[in-house]
Amino acid sequence: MSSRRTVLAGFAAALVFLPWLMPNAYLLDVVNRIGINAIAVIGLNLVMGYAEQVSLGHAGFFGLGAYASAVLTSRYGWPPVVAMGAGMLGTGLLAFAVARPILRLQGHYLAMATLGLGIIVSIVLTNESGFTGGPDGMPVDALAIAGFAPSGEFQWYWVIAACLWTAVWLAGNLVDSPIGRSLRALHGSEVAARSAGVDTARNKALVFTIAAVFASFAGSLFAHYVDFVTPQVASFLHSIEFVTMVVVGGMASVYGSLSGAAILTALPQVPADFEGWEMVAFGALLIAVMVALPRGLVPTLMRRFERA
Amino acid sequence: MRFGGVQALADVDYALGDGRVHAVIGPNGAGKTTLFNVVTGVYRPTAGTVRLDGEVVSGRPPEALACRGVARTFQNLQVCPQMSAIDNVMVGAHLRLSQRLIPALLHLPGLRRRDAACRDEAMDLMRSLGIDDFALRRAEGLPYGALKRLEIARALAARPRLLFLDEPAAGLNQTEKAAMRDLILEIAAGDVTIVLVEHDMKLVMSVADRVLVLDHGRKLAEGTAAEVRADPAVVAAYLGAGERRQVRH
Repeated sequence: MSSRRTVLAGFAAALVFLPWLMPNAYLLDVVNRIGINAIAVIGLNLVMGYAEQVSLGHAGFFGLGAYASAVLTSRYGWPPVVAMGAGMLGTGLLAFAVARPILRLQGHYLAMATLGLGIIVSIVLTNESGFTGGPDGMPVDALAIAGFAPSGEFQWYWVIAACLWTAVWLAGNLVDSPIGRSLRALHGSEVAARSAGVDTARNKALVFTIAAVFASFAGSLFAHYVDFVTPQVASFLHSIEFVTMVVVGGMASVYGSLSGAAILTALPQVPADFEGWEMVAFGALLIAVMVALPRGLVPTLMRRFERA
Repeated sequence: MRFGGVQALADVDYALGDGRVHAVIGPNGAGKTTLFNVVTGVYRPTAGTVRLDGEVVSGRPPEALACRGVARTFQNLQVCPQMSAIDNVMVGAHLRLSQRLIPALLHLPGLRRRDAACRDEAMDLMRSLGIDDFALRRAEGLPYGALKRLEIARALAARPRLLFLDEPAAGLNQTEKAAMRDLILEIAAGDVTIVLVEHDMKLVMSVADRVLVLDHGRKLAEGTAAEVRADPAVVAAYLGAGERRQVRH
């Protein structure tokens, strides 16, 4: 408990110092994108690492958030924060509605169902061009939080850092709560957890919903940050990127999600002519991690550290 | 209860009417653990009913029975290896803690206070079971005897009315068995009805008010410990010549 507080304080300090270490706006932009992805990945990791369900449609929730912000602000003139909240609420309701039937499925069937959900969202965003601008995408109004409109990478950094820290805090709270404990117990022994009264279906549905809301929020943030969205944000490949970030960083590890998001967001930026080979690199990295660090980066390092 | 072509349990009729401690005995494969799994909701019986306070509960999942005050331990330990011992115990108190999402996400003071109280309670339970030294250690590395007690602590954390113990003394040495006997009597002295499956006849005879004897999935006898011990059918079919000596003392 107190050690978690120490780590949170350390993380806050690191976030405060980080931007001063960035030599240029380009790198700060990469850092901002890492932060946005990390918020979605932290949520997905709750589903994959704690509720032990795979979601191959998480970018669908990200896309819903992004387009809720885009459509509601640009076409209907809603205040950005209200549009963001509406997106989170709508995405949360959708996730909660589909969670029970979807999470009743197991293994491949569950993966297929979440995959299908993501693809449906992607198709709707592409085809409803009257609202969404179709495959070409649409511009998004600037974010304004109570009169403050962040502009430039540096100002945006502070908005994203605050959101990321809050996401880490919320996820850590959930893991550390009776709900999180019951999910960890389910992972250890399903029969024991159920005999103690743990309602498996309810808790898995709750976590799935929370993860969707995190993704929707990250999507909204992304839409305002890059001020233009295309249906690519909800694509299957984007879902796979999120899953890869979780696995590389380490399942059931909030800070693992951060490192996974950092590595896989930064990786395609390194050589500029990497384009087109991103998915190959992602695949190779995923295989390498599964072979060398099956627990993922952060949990493996923590085990080493504990032993030493 | 039938698994494919195997009739694991048939015509077992037993009421937990009088008596605080009930024992289910029988040779390996007699259906003792199957009986436990049926009455605690882990298995859905293929025929027959389980009643609790007159209400039919067979076919209900284990979590529904837990809500009605049923707790259990497992023959093959079912602890969560990655969690600390005390967290394992706190899982037992699951139903007494709020599972609401918003307080959990925000770590609201009310939730934190209740969780801390629950942790203290779990610690007290572990202390009374003599396993408080292991509280903060991961469950995976703990000695077998401690894990057996850990399971009992988890079951007790639920404050059950009805406690099922599946072979609580298996694998324990003589000293530990004596301690387990005292523990069972102590729990029974509280307001808990205990049902145990146990191979150690000495333990069964010293704690059980009522004994149910199973053989090949059928009820062979039931009665007080003394009655069952004297029942010729039980002696012949189950205890056998080898164990008769053990029963006498």
